[in-house]
Amino acid sequence: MEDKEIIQLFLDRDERAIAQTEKKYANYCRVVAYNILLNDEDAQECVNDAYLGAWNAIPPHIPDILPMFLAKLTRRIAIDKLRKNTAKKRSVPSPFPLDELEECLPSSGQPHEPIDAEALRDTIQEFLKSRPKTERDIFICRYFYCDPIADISVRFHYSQSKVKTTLFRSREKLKKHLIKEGFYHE
Amino acid sequence: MNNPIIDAIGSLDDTILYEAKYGKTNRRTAYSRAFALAAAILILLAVGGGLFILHRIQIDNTIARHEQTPGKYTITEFSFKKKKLKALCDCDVSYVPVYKDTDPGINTELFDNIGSGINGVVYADAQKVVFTTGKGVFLYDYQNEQLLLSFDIFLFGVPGFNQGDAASTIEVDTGGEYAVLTSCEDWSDPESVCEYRLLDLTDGSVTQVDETQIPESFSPVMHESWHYYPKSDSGSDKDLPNSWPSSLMSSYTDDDGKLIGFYTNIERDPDGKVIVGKMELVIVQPDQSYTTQRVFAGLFPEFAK
Repeated sequence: MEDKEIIQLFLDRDERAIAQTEKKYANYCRVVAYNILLNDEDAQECVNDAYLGAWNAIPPHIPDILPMFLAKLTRRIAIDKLRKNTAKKRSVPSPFPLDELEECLPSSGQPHEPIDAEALRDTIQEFLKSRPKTERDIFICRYFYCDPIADISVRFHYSQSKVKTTLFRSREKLKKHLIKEGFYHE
Repeated sequence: MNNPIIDAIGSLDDTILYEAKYGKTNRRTAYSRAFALAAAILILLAVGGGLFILHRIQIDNTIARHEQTPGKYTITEFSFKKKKLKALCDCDVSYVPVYKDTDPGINTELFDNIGSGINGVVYADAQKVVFTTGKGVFLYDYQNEQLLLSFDIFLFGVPGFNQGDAASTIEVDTGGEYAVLTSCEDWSDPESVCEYRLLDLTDGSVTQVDETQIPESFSPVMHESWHYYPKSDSGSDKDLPNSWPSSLMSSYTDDDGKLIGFYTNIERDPDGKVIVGKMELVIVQPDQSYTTQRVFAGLFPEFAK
């Protein structure tokens, strides 16, 4: 079924929307969740929560790109679950891709003032758009989709070493960019 | 884990997120890139080699045939810039070819089945000519006596070709970059429906156009050239054959009012088979007197008599 037809089912409050979403995007969402949680049961739980989240969000929200909407939803749910697990001192996967982003924070880790989430998003987006496409795509595959380094190296035909180097340099540049834009001070 | 950058990345624009995962990567494997490069080189070599061979065949055919023909004529050009005639060369040339009856089927021989007429026009620099036959369009440098380019007319889809008449005329702009092929349903009818094709002489591309799309650089008399009818009672320094056709093809009128053009002359045997044909450069003065010079005789010597 086409995405626009699935979205229409949501808009019509037709429960077949969930079934069709699962049929088309179950594996896709599961991979997004698993890459973060590294646990099948937790990942499946997140995916189910994502379906519910989609049902509650559509309408009034109408996704432009349905798989991206689902990926964002699933990612957010998975990261929230991971944070809860961390807070409860439950085991968390180590090393965890998103931990690498700690390097984008200055050593003090203190922002100038409370961060405006939208402004931060816009700044990071502006930064990524200024980067070469491959570097940008690698960054997003790692820090949005949490793809393993090995998978990224296969997709982009880079050695794993080169992927790591590319990510390292991107993080350094992002850090400098955030400092320059005034989000953090050194 | 409470890094706000993590959440900010989660709300980036859908398009760049989607493109990162599912768009094409800029990288190819070294192997596939090498393969693609090798394939491209091979294709270019094949096409270039084929075109070169074809071109050489055409030129060699012309030169070989030319050398076989006796006779000596003066090829004259009219310089549009200098507004005067000048002799290009005293060249060994033969008669303009005999025109065979046209075969409605496609004939791959470049110089066979040329149709019953040749139309052409002199470039503004008066050193080359572009002309058409039932088979194709040819760019000929008659100072160096070399066929420079030829375009297979069958690729043009021009109606009227291969029907036994000089079905098309051609004009060349003053810059020498474009030629317009005109084909009309009834050449004797000035109101006849015509089709136009713009031929780019630099790359051989052909585009069907209407009258409004023809470049402004073309002579303003272009569309009227084939309507010109020299008066039969005009004085002349040379009698025209009785088979003088009633219209000049591809003529050009300069600022002094002289008309320069070509005419083709065809004679047939009792069976209707064309046995002789000629093309001459004609210069008609404002007082309707005119001179003619036989030209391009060496191009198709196999038909000479």
